[in-house]
Amino acid sequence: MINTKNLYFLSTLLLCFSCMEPNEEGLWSIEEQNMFSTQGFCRNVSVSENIAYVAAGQSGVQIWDLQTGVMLHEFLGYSQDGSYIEFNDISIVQRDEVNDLIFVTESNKKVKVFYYGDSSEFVYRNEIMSDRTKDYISFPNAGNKFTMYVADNDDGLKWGTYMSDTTVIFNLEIINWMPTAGGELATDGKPLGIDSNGDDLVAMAVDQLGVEFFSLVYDQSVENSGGRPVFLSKFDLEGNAEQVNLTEKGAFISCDDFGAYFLSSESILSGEGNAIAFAEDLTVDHIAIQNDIAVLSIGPKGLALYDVSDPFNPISKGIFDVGYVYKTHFWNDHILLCTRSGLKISKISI
Amino acid sequence: MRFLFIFNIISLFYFLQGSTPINFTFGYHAGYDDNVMRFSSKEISDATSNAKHMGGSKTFDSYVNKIHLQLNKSLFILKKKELVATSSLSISNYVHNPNKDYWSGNFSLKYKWGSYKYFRYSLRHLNSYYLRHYIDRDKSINNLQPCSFSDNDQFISFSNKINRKNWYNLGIGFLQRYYDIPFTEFDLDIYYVRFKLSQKIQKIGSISFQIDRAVADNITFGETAVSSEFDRSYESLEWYIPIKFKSPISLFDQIGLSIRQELRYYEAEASNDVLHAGRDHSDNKLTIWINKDLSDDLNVSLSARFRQRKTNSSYDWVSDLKSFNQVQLWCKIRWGFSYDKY
Repeated sequence: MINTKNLYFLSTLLLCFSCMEPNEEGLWSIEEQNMFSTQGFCRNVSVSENIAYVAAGQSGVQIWDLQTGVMLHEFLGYSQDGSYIEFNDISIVQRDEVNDLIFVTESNKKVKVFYYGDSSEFVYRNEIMSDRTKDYISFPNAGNKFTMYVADNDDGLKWGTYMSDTTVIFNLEIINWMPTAGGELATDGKPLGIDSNGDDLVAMAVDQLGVEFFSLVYDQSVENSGGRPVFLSKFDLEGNAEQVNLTEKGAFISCDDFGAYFLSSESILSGEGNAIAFAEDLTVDHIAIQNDIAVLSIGPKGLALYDVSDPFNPISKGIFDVGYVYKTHFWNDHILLCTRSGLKISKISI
Repeated sequence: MRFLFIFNIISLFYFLQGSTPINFTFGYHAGYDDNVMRFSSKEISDATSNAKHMGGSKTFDSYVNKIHLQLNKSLFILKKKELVATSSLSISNYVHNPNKDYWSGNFSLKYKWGSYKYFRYSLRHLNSYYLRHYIDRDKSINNLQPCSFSDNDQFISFSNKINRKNWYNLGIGFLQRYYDIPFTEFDLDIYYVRFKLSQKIQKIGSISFQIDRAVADNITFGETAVSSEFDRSYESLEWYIPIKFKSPISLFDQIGLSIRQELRYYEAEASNDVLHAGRDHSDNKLTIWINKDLSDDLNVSLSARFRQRKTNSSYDWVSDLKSFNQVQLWCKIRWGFSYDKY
């Protein structure tokens, strides 16, 4: 006969081990919470508090209240010299809250400056920079000025500090934003994307030739309050560098046909070291970073999420088919997706 | 963890104090599998240009070595009533495809109260069984990763005699088929019922008819990333007829033949999931074997299994991709002995 104690032991073992737990892959998830139909392709967004300024492709410039989901304004064109001019295909919109401005660019065109203040009037001021502008970033300066750095596809890195200039002709007040300082730096590659921390660094993605970095030099002059870029370092990368995102840890570069790269701040400053490649088999158009979450826009494939808490070893957290994504932008604890079907508000769950 | 569990059970048997012997069966199986990764004809013809699909293997086929150990002990005997515990462990080695190496284990408790009358609980574990390399679409659009799964199958069955020649077996089972990382989007909970009717044919042998009905729930559907958006849930119906003949010649003792067909219907209807939407298949297996008892303790069997899976889909490329043929040959040598402490 068997000792019954053993039978109890056997039964307990059986109960403890009889079911199997699924393997936990550790992928993140993304949940769509709202979708604003922009009609045209939503190519780009600039956010100021809870207001989104949207480059809606052939549907012009749209202004959305992100909390209520209401489109506050839609501008399909503008008046200039008594004529109404329709927008063709808006690719970039950027808001300057301090100077009550909206910068608008159509594909491969100059940057148009519009006044948009409390009256919600959308008033054309003038054009700045030059044709074949691919990307830009601007910072407001003291004394009603702003400094803009531009990735100009045929000229290189352009920058300028602008202030408003008012002329009165026949009792008609004409306000233009005129450069007080500026210049351009020729680059070997063809600039496609630009980013700056607004303090001491500008980074530019230069297509087949990788990425270039410029330090900002301040000469104390009132005219050049934004800083003059001086070449710092460059890194040739595989694929076509399209966009660059500067963070405290370094730069994340999105490359067509070759995924993404991370370059540490030390490498950027020294011009030495290797770029860390990740998502090599994806075509990455843009990267947004917040709280160690990297959101890679991969066009028709949607989004790819990466954990970049250790940027030298990015960990894939999943690809998500959320439509054709051009760019993303973090808004509080949400992520705004610029997609072909509109502006989506989603939340990433870790 | 599971390996430890099986090992514990085996150890438990060994150290149990009891008056009944422990029956051991040790087996060595030598086999050959002509299509280890279940490639379709199209994939075989394209293999030279898609070498990465081979997962590092140089051949489609492989020799297989398998070691099998089974322990059996009566825990309780009172007249016709008996409680029998059985545990087994198998370790398989694929000579030409190391990805495929795996182990499996089994534990069962059977309460008998007469011939063909019993309740049985069985727990079977299949550990990290490799299928082939697939693209992990959750993380990549073209990188291949090894795809393996583990099975945990629990089955409760009841057997009873109808008359002197006929008996039946009725059971329900719960099979957890969970895939190894990174293919967890394929995880399935499979619930099934089984009915088996058997008949002993005097002086000839026996014949059985078994039918399984299964519902598989893809538990990670919609839970992870892009690949989990496809529902791999399915329903299936499987019938199985094994026929055993007493051999008319002394060269072997038994001849067997079995036919098994599984009909599987995928539930996916999504238009963007062409690989699964509206897909079904019939998986047909024909097995023949011969057995010979060389002595009271030693048994040899030779078997051959022919498998054909035919997939139907609205898309010809899916039918071509998911249909395959497979042949397996086995020579099994089993040695049984008893250990009685007293």
